[in-house]
Amino acid sequence: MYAVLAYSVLAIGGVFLVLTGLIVANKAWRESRDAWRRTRRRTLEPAILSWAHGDAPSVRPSIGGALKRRDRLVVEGILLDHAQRVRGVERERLGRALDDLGYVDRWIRGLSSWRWWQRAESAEKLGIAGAFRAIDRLVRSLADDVPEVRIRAAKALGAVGGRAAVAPLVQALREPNRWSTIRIADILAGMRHDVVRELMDEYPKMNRDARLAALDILAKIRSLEPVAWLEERLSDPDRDVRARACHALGAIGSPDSGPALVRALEDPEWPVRAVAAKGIGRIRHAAAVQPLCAALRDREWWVRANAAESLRLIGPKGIEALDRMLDDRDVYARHQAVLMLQESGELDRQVELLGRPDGPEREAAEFLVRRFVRIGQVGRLRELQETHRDAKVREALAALLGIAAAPGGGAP
Amino acid sequence: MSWVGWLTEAVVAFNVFVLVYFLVLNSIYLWLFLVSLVEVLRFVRRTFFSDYRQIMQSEMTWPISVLVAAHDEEKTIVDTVRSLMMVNYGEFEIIVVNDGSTDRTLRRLVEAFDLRRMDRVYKRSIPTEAVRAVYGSLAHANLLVVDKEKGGKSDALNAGINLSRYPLFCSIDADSIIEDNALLRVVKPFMERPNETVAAGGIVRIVNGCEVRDGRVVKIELPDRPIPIFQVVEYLRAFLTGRVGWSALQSLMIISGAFGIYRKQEVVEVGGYSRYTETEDLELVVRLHEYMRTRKRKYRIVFVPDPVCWTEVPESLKVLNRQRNRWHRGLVRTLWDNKRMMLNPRYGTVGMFAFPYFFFFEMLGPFVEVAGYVVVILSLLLGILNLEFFLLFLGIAILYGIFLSIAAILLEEISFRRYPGWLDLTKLVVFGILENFGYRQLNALFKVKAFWDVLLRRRSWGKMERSGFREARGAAGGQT
Repeated sequence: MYAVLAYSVLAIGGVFLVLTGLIVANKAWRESRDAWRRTRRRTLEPAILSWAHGDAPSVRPSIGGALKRRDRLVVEGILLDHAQRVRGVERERLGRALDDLGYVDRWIRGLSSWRWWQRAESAEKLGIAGAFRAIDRLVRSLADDVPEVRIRAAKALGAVGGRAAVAPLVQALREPNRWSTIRIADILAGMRHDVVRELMDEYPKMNRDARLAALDILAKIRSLEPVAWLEERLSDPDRDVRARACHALGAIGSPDSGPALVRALEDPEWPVRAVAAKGIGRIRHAAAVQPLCAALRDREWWVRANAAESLRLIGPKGIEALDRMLDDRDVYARHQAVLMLQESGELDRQVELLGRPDGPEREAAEFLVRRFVRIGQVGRLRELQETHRDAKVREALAALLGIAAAPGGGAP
Repeated sequence: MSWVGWLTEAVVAFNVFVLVYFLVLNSIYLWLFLVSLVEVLRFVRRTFFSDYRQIMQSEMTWPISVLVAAHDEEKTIVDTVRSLMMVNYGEFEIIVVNDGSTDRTLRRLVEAFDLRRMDRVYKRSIPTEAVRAVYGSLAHANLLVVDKEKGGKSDALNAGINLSRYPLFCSIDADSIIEDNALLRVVKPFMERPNETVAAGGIVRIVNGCEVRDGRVVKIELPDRPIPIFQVVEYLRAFLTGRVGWSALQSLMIISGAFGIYRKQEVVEVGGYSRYTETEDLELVVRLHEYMRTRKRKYRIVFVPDPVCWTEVPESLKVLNRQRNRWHRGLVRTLWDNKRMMLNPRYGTVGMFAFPYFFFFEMLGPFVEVAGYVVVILSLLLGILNLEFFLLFLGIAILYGIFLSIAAILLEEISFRRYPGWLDLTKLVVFGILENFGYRQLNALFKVKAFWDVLLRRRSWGKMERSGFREARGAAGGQT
């Protein structure tokens, strides 16, 4: 027993010493390596950048001839860092240098590594290098088992592929992994107008997740081309498709889609109504004031909130409508109107007018305040009555609220 | 047999029990460490490919409501809100709930952010104490301040949930600072598996000793005082070798209240945070497990080791005692309230593994430890202490404790490396050794006392005395 305990003490003590040694060795090695690389970088970077700005055919003379093994990572770091920062000819030259020095070949081989992170890293670097000749291999990587590799390959294709990469990337939207789908969708959205037609053509063959992603991409690209096509999606049996189509129409902002969005306000599913209400605000469709007022009475909070926000965005006509809604029979509609008139600053603007001499503006302001009082939403008014810097405003508010005027005020 | 004989038998039996207990506990620790090692390395590989900027810009990233419960936080609340406003994230709202503060918390917020009262109507999905007023800002459209009657942190968070607009909410302590990309990192599990992820937590690190400027940690250093340094080692061990491992085993029982993200729907379904516990974070996570498992819903609760939240920890033993007392009372209460989960196969790994671990080792462990010291003294008095055996056993126990701390520091060193200096590393190693000589035993005593308080039904939150963040030189105020 004692022997077991004694050996245990020795074993644990040994492990402790090994761990401590590992920590120290790891830190010392890392720090000295980084210091050496910094020094080499300071030496090599000016020469490489000078080459990139010039017109010499090969980068090799700038790094002292053939690429030394010890400099491989330093040179790679310099070229990749700058390739991400510059555009045009300079970037092209940096990409060519990466190819010339054998990095591109190494990364293409790296796409077949058994370590997933090396495959992912290789794909990422090929994208930064703009390695056009790696497109076929990157397309194959879109079917990799590991989502991170697929995402990197998609990103690289997005960076280097141009139109040639659109079709495989659109196909890749059928990804089983939601995260990958989102990332590929973002990459496609970044490719802008090149992908619109392909998305619409491929849409019928897509699975549900891919369809939703396609609609989100169209929303982000904001091209007018698919407006009519998106309006057709508003009659899709899937509520998420209808909601995403509404979102896309709102994001694109074509005034022509106003009537379609107004119709979507009648959708039986509240998420569709909510997004339609928001979309109307985004396109500032003034003709939709009445339907939006009706949406303020919706059972769902999100529909009411978005309708109120849209009325505010529509401008004076919408604000007038919100003002009118203070007398609505529906308590939810009234509350939403109150909140939006406060959040838009309209109530505060009207209260300022209470300090003016009698006239139509002051009368209108008093009328508004009275209606706030009548429906019992007086929190902000009480606060203003106590803190407003203008004594006349405080007095007027006190009278309207039926309370004694605050003696001081002016500071919160 | 004489009473001395009985006592001797009892002491020997206890020794055997302690030996077995020790072996089982340390095997679990070792296993958790190995699982954590694999997970952290895997995580670091994945983090290399994170694209946080793209995630932030993506319209497909889920919006989040950030909830901050504040009670008498006038020293730090404005900094906290400012730091939250600078967080890298697409769409988010900040809801500060002033829970009946008696200091100038609300006034400071109103002044700093030009707040004005809003007559906002909302659905009370979870019952709470009365909300006195809701404040919004025209300049900061995504900031909402809720002023309510005092009801405790849970009640404040529940009020925040009621007023929140988004499908995810993130609870953050008012004295905490989250790093710029923390929300982007912690939201990733929800985007990867949106239908299954119900909660995710991130690592909490200690801000004492660090320099803070404009609500951001600009220089990371270890604290000067020993008690916070002990806690740095303790937090590293708890988060890097504890929660990472539990998360990998799908049995994470706690997401720190200082920083966690939840899906609102499930939290509302379980009735929000409980007001009747001292550790609402632990209690909520256990209840979520219970709820999801009972309904046989596929779900996961995950820990992401990188999203960092910086928080202030006690600097004196007195405050540490209060904090640990509260934590342990909360643990006891939560385990008691959910005792049906114990060794119940219906609750999967949580019921069969995590729950018994927390019961036997986290809850009862301090008793065993303190009882062990008592038995040693008793054995000495009875003349039955085998000094050689005792010293060897003590040596193993201490060395194993040191091994676990050093292992956590190693994990930190090969992964996140937040403490870059050699001096900090040396300090961590030294305090990882020293904590086994007094600090650990003191904590065990605090917890035994907490258990006693539970039996006496004593309840108090235990005020955390804050010194405020250490401002970087040149920053406004320049306070320390």
